[in-house]
Amino acid sequence: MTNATKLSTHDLDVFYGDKQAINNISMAIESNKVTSFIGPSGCGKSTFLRCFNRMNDVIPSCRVDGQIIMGDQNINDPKLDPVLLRARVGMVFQKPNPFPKSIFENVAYGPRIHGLVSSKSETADVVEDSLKRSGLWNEVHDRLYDPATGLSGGQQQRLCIARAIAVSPEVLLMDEPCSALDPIATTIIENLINELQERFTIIIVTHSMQQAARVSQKTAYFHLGHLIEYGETKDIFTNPKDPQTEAYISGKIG
Amino acid sequence: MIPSAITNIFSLTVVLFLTALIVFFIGKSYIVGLSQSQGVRPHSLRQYYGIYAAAWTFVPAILVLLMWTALTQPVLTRLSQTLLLEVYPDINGAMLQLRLAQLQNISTGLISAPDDTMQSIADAQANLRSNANDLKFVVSLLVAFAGAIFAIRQISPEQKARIKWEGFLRRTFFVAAVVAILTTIGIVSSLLFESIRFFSQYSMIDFFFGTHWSPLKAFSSSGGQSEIDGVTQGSFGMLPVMAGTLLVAFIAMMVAVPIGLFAAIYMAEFASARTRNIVKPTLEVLAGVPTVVYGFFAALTVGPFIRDLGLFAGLDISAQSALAAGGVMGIMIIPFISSLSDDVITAVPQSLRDGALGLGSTRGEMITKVVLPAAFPGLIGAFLLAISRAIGETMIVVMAAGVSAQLTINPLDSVTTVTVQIVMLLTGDTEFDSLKTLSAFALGITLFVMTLLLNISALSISRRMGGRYE
Amino acid sequence: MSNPIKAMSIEDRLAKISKSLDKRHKQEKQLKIAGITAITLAIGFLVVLMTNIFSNGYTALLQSEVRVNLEIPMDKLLGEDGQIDPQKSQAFNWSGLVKKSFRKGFPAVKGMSDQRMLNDLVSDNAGYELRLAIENDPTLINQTAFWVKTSDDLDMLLKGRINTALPEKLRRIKDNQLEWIKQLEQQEDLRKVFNSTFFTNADSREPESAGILGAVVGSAMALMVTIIIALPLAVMAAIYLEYFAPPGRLTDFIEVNINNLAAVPSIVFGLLGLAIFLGFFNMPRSAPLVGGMVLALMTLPTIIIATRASIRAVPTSIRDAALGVGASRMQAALDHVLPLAAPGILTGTIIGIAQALGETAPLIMIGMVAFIVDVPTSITDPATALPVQIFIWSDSAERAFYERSSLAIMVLLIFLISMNLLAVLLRKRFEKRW
Repeated sequence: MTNATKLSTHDLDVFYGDKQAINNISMAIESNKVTSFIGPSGCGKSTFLRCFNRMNDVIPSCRVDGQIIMGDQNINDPKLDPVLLRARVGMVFQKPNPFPKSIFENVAYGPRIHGLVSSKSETADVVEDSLKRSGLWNEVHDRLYDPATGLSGGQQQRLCIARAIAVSPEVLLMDEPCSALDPIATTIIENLINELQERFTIIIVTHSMQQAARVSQKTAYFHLGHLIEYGETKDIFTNPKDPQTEAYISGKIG
Repeated sequence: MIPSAITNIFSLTVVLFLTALIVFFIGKSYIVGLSQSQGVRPHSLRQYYGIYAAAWTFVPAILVLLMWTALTQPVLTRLSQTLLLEVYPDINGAMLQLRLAQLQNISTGLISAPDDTMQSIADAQANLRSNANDLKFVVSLLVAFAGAIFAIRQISPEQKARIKWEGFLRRTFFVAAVVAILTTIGIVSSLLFESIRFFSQYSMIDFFFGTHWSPLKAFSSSGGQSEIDGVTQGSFGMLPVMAGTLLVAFIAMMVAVPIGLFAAIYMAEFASARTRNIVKPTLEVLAGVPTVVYGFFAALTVGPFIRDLGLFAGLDISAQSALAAGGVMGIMIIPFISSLSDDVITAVPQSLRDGALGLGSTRGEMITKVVLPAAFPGLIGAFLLAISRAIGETMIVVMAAGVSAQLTINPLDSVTTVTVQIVMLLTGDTEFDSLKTLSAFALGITLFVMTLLLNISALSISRRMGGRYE
Repeated sequence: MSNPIKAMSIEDRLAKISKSLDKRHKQEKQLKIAGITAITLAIGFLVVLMTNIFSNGYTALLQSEVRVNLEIPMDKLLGEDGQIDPQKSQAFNWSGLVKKSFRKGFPAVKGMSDQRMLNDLVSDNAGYELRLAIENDPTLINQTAFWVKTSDDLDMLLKGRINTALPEKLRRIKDNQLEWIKQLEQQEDLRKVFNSTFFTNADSREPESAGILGAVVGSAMALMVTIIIALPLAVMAAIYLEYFAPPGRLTDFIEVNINNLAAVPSIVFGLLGLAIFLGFFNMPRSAPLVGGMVLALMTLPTIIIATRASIRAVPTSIRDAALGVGASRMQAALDHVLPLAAPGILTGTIIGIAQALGETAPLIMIGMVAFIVDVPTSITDPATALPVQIFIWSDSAERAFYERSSLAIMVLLIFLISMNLLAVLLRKRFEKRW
């Protein structure tokens, strides 16, 4: 098992106007592993996550300083085209947000706009494979052209996952993907994450420590915009080095 | 008998109001006296006893006054009509209207009576009117006094004056709300009534499917009633008129939709907040310009300009082309499309935008492939409302479009529209009964139904597919 | 079947994506440009419209006058008491006096048709206006020269609106008239003064005597009627719908009606007025009373909707607090909520009235489109309204009426802008931040 670094940040700061949300974080994300970001509400884990696919660009008052290296590029370079970046770093959001189109159209969206498919059959192949890999194929294969909004919450989220992996990104960012779902759907998606990590580097933000313990190999604990501790998941949970981490794990704060 | 300075409605209203005011004070002091002498506290504050009594004084009397005033003239007119028919049994429609107008002018002193008969009828009418006004004065005051007595007698500490007063207010407010229904009923019934009279003399099939519209042929020697003999009756086939309306509306939409929609997209998705705050109100100024100004511009500047352009290009374009009227109408409609579309586009949830961007869309793709399709039902609703506006528009086409009906799709032709015809048929000296004026109401009800259907569709389409996101 | 994207290497995939990237960004840029173009076009239309109106109308602020040397024959006008006898004044041929005196300045002009063309340079109403001036201020009777209005054709020429380069046949001012005008200019007998007539007169056959006062008064009267009817009804209806209406079919029906009426074409309201107010109730035609009633029905839905919005904007805590101390629903509504909603209601009403001011079609239908030369003195007098006056004048062939319509439009727009600005200012001033 290689410990290659897929993404690393160097002295990363994030500001909303004058307020600083992320303070000087340097860390490395390992390839083909699931890394979880945990911490109390408002600690900045979602903000930090969104730096990896430049989604903070969408917010006008947000400023990101520092470097984020993927391969040999600094993806925080303003000259870098975020469109290309987002084809390499996909995202699944907290609340499922399928487009008001058919199931098929949702999954085919990414490959089409990036010009990765050039025929109907290629598109169909990609859609089928993506739906299979997100565990949704069996449930929808006979109604691919029905509206995506007719699916249940858990199915919609799996659809969003299928949509995200259809362009074969290298990294998958997941921002509290299960917080809007019931426990059964949550389990299905956690199993999915286990399967997906073979091909993708996954970073998951979660407010559930149990979930972090279940799905991730590496865990980072954030508090008020600072990275407090980062290491192997089992070490963080059984033997935290920093007293703040220990306080959060044992429920003293949160 | 009683001078009209007192019996006219303004003076009477003041008199009734003052009476009610006096009753108010009487009521107030009465309840104070009563409760003191009986040694009990009244149910409500004293002013409610006063105002409740004052209401009983004022309201029934003012209702009587208003109804009496409103009905005096119609009743007098019909009585005069009967009188005239007695004196001139063979009088026909047009002459009758003329005589009635003469009577009106004699009574206001504008002209002097042509002969003794007319003078005596005028005198009789004046007499009746004066008696009616005197009676109105007396009856209104009587009703006021009766109301006052009735109410004051009911004053007692047990009387729940405030509750009764508030109940009265509530019922009044209800009536105010019902005025909206009354207006619709008024519109529908007046249009329907006159249209039915029209269709009793002209075939519905010919009206709705006829392709020849020339009402001016319907002048008649017998005065008022057009002879149905194919020679003097005009043709009222409304298809060319409707075609004109649709052509002008179409041209207007061709102008308004691209400009309005792209402007809305830019304002909603690209513009900074500062730009948006300047541009949006500026565009709404276009909606605030009165349509007569647009009509003026279209008729006196744009129309001749297009005609001159045509001369330059060797084409013979009328100064009243559908293009001129439709183009300017389009300018007027731009803010309808841009504001409504802006609202609809802005209402698309941010989560959809994030989803599209997260997949690597450019802003442009996000807009064209995700946001616009999501906003589509609302946009259709906006377009339907704009079309409804274009179809119902009057002044721009009255001033800039023509009056001759042609069935054409050429924007360079001169066409006429439903609204233009309604205006043409009903202004000028026309008797109220002729087929011409009735046809205007038939056009009117067609227009009303069309815009109603468009408005309802707009509402239901934007509502039906609206809640699909959550 | 296999997933072609999965089968690609990272480099191949990125290369494929990069290929279309330029085109995609260009498409976005085109969308932006389309948006900017659209906005520029729309604003451009507005600018062209305003410029066109202004450039045609501002000259109407001036009226050309010509100096005529004449002597008023006092013996024909004065009575025994040394004052002007009104009967003698009425019988006197003022017009003839002006024409003859004017011709005296051009002794070379002979022949009836030439002399008529000469007199065509002076307003036909000059005599009448001279008489009014003398009757108003009898001391003027001793003057030997009077400034009177020129005809509208001369007025247009002096304002540069007549193209003298055209062949004589196509012009309204002929070559011989041009000569005489040149003479007048050299004698400094021509001048332009502020066109106060425009603001003090009602309509007239002659453009130089025509003004908007009648129309403005007519509009003002009609709008007063509109406010008196529509505002109380709207507030009462809104309070009922917001606080007292039981949920149910009747309430829904009322609301559906209100929303529909807001979108009914204005001409339909005109038909309603024609059929019911004029046809059934025989109310006086062309009267601001009827016009006001029709406009009230039109603006009622708008003001109801605005009032409801203002009422809703008042936080429920206000109402709850009032109810909590024992106020009845009616007391809470009238004493507590209504005063707080009042600024919003006022704003909505001003905007509704502004819209009503610009309405033309329904007023035409009820007859306010006649030629009225008197300023109305009561709401039952026949009158016209400002937008209708613009409509009537725009139909005229005279170039001078075109100029005056444009100025009338400017006056109308100034009224509208002021009202809307007032509404915005009021809203800003009274806007409470809950």
